[in-house]
Amino acid sequence: MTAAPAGAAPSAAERAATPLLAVRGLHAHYGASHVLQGIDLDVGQGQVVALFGRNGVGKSTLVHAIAGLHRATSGSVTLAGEELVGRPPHWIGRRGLALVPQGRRVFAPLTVEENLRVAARGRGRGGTWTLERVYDLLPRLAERRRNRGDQLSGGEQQMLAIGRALLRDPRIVLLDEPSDGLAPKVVEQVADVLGLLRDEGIPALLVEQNLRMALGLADVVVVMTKGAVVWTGTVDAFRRDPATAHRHLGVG
Amino acid sequence: MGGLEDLVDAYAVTVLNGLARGLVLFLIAVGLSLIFGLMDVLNLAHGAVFLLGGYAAVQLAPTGDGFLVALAVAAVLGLLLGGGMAAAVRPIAGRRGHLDQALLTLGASYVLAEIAAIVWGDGYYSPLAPPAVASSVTVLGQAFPAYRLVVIVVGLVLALAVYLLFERTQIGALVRATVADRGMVASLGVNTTVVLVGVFAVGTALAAVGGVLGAPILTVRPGIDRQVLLLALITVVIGGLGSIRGALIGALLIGQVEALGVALLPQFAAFLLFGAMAAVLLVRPAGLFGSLAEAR
Repeated sequence: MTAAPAGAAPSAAERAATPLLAVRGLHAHYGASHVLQGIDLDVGQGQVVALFGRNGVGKSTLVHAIAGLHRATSGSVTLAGEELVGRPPHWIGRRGLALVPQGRRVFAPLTVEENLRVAARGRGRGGTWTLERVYDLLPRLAERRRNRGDQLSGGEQQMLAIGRALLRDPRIVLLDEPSDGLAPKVVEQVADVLGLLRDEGIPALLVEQNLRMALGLADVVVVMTKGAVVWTGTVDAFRRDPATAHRHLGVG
Repeated sequence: MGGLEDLVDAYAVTVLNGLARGLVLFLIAVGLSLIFGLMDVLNLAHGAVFLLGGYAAVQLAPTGDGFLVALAVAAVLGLLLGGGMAAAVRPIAGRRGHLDQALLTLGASYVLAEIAAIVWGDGYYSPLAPPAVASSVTVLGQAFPAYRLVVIVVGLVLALAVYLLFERTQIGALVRATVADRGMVASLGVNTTVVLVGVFAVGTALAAVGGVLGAPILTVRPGIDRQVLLLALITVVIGGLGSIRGALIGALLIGQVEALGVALLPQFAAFLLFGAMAAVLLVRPAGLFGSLAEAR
């Protein structure tokens, strides 16, 4: 059932026609439960796409399936035309997909600098993001460079998870609830950093419960319920249609 | 000549003996601990690797000559064996619970032990120490085999090298990260299978080297693999799974409990080992340096 890994390289015309990240008819299961039921979703070059949905509708599973951490049952995910479904996570990581996962998942026993160096390892391509540049962007990390991951505050851990992703020289970043569990002031700091990434032109899929923050960053909104995409549109269209937010997200 | 002074001196020798045994035990326990921390695999064949190391000394350096060759051969064999076992265990690691792994690695240990029994029979072998260090030296007025001091020094150097490699280098950071969160490391573009095979290979080589080093102070015989495996298991449970420091402290503690127990309370010596383990677990259920979250 799994889509065949791209055998032939896509032609130049095909590459131009497909968005940077294209999810097509993606299905995934957890045991017997059918978590993703045919997801279609695009992230274009330079685009930030916000993905909204209530708890348990499959947002994190979608992120994991794209990153190769959860096996998709069928369907296709392409990054710059290359098929990702069926590939191991490290292969996908090397293709330029960086993950800022839910709960940050910083390496607790490693120092901040060690966390960053592990990320900078084996990225293969000569990149523009260096340790110095990450420290410039996130000065708090430079101050804490000798501290262990588990000595950081939630906000600092989030910065570290973002810095780690940047050191991958990402073509695209998947951010899974970066504001989760952070104080409002810290959420603002994280939003500022994400704004800088957007200004850099780094495409992102931003999974969020904090609509206000995400709407300030995104170009496109995608709404999920129960394993399916039920609404896709621009941020402006989303703001003009409060019924959608009310019906599917229980807000507004 | 005070009686008390003699007693203290006698125990100083016992402490040194415990130190030598503890450091040999560290060489076995550290691989067991790291492999478990990384792959969630308890490698029950680890003791058999130690046994093969012992027979390498029996075969290549029975009189102490050729000891370094035996060490090198054991190290290389350990690397190959460890890499092979990693590949064999990898498909079931972390997926199907511990029973399958126990069956697989226990089976491998029986195969290895049986091969050793076919080749070397059921005899007891005590290979001699290398001639250069076969003499005795006087420690605190007591004769003490120079070879045991060599074991202590080599053991400490190896322990320090492993510790520095693990804690102070980028490769070590990668291994620690993989212990902490394998999926996240993979997402950062690292093929974690390479890390797993590498650690399995190095950990297994250390056990084989431990077998050669330990051969002149222990008797190489069938069954020592299980005995040593049990001690190593107690060690990692005490020290905490996945921790180098834990393996070292645990091994030194077990070495002392064993040596002093036999000297002071011979009838309770076996009980003392498990007593020490139970005492540590009562205070720290994840072991001295382990955290249950990290061990996963």
